[in-house]
Amino acid sequence: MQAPLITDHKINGMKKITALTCFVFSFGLTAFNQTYLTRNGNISFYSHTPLEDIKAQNNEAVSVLNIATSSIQFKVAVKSFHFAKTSMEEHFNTDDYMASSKYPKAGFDGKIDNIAAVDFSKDGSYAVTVSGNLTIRDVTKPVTAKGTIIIKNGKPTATATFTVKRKDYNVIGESFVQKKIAEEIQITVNCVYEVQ
Amino acid sequence: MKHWKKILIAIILLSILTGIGYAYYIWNKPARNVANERAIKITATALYDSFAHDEQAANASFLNKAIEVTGIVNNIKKNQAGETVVYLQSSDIVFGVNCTFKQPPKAINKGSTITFKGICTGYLSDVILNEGILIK
Repeated sequence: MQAPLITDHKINGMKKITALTCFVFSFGLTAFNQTYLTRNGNISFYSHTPLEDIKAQNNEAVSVLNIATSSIQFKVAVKSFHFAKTSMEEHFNTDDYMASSKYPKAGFDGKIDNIAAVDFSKDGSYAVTVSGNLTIRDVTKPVTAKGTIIIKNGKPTATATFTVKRKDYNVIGESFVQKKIAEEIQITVNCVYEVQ
Repeated sequence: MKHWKKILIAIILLSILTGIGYAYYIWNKPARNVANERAIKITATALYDSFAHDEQAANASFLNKAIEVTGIVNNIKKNQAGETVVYLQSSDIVFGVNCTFKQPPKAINKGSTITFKGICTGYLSDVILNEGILIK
């Protein structure tokens, strides 16, 4: 009676270990494919008024996209925004606008609300909604934006365009230039990710 | 009297011209050229570590300054605007110094040691340097 019991225990134990190994292994494999990263994503903004159009590009945005948690984060160095005109770039960085020496970073931390709609293993274009918190000049406000995730050769690209009211984030500027700067600034995100 | 008026008109005209000239200069101010600047010389590891340990202090020392950084090339790629980006190794396994070239440099090999001179725009996951040139 004793001997077979011990064997049973051993078999059960082995099954447990095998199951655990399988679980850990598969979890490890999936986790490997669950995070996407870019260290050189593109984020630009655009301000349009009848008097002047202002555009700037930043090609050093960091973004992490995690499928398991559906979280998506973006970070930019404010001084990495480049303008066609040097004087505009200098103004942008002063305390009247972005105060980039005091607040060198801006960022977004949120979630893809409908991540189930994206098949990361199949090439295609998927409409998504992203919601979260946008921080500029240390002011954090909730933001929701519609965007697209494009899967090409297994690599995702995230694109979105949304507007922010600059005064919500204390981006005021001198009084004499107010007519040249739009109240609502259009922000465009275009990030090509690598598998992390 | 007439003579006095002429001088006045000349002064007014001269100030208007100076004003226009100054506005023109501001509007067309040339872009910052790191090649003409004196730079802080540092290794990629030391630069990364300063930010990783005390970001505020590192911002005070390096932000918006010309930096001449020397390090081992981890990877080279083109960013989405087609500019060349070189990632320099640091004490971190993934991140380091992210260097964007103003003009495409001559061939750079992975694993080689380079010296890059650029402007520090901040610290995200990497320390960011851009508008840069290859020193050696």
